[in-house]
Amino acid sequence: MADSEVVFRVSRYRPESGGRPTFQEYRIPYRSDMVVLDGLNYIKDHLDPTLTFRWSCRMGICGSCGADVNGRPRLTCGTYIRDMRKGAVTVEPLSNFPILKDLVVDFDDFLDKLASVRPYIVRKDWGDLSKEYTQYPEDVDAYRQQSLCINCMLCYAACPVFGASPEFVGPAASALALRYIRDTRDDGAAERLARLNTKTGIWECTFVGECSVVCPKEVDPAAAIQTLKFLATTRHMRRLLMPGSASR
Amino acid sequence: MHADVAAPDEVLLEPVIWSLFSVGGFITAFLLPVTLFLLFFAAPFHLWPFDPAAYGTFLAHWKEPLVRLFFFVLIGGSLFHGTHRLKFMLMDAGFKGPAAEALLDLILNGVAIFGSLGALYYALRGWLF
Repeated sequence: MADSEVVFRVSRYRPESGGRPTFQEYRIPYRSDMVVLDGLNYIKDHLDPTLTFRWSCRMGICGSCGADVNGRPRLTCGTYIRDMRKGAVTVEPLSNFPILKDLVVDFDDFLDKLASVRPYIVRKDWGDLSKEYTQYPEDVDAYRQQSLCINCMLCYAACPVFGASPEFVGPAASALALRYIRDTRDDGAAERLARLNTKTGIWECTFVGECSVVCPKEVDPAAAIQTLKFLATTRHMRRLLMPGSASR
Repeated sequence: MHADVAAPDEVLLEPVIWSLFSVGGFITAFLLPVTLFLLFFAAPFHLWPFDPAAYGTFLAHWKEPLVRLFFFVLIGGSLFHGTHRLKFMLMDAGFKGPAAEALLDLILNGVAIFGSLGALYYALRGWLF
């Protein structure tokens, strides 16, 4: 049973009517176990069916429901209203992305960047595909942290470098590049490091670190980028000093 | 850009500058505070036995190649680290764009290079020439 009410200030943007996003306020019944996504769904189901937002799993796995909640990028399914009940709960679309409608933003640019780092296992020779490629627990531990990325885009919304230079490849794509570089089954490190050792690659990162602060899965993209800088530098030096050597 | 589209060209200078910045960061974090404390606080304020850090003793040690190498690396590394950090602080503060970044590179890398060359000159003076 609801024990009181909470005010939601939700950013609305209707592309068909043009103009700038505006805020709309809703009063919804409050229970202490409600997350922000529950509030948005209550509005959608009972108050305003035109409100548009993405969501799917409701358990922090799909990465669909990211939004700026009270000015900070968060997964709305993992953000309890009770933790931010002083005043209204303000929900806006993720910063640094073009808005399509209300809380829905356009991720196409990220998908292109992600594709450019080849986020899959690359092999020079697939060998006998009927046999397993053995991995030991320590092999998995090497990339487990980066493999937890759910592409929720909170890191891009928090990154001031991406905000100022949208061509920057960004935190999540870099972390996923490192995930596959560290995979013992992969042979694509040279291509990924070549992509990242560019003007729009890892050198844009000024190590602000906000990407790691907001990451809901503790992927630590900032550390991943620093590791990639080290790998790209050693590869670069090896190519300069020992042309023709292995580039991994 | 999709994976089958040509990637942008690789950069040549950034990895070199970053490696100097990175090594300089290690030096700045670990060696510079200790050196500054010993030379500028511990000795003048008698927090440390004075004689080992006295000018005459220091001058005698200065003739040793390892001591000269230490101070060259300390000064050069700290300069490369500090100027690179300053560049990105200024960029974060809004000093961005190709022309602004080229100007920052010219001034700040120039300071680091000339400062390191100055440290190299003093490290070699009286030893090689």
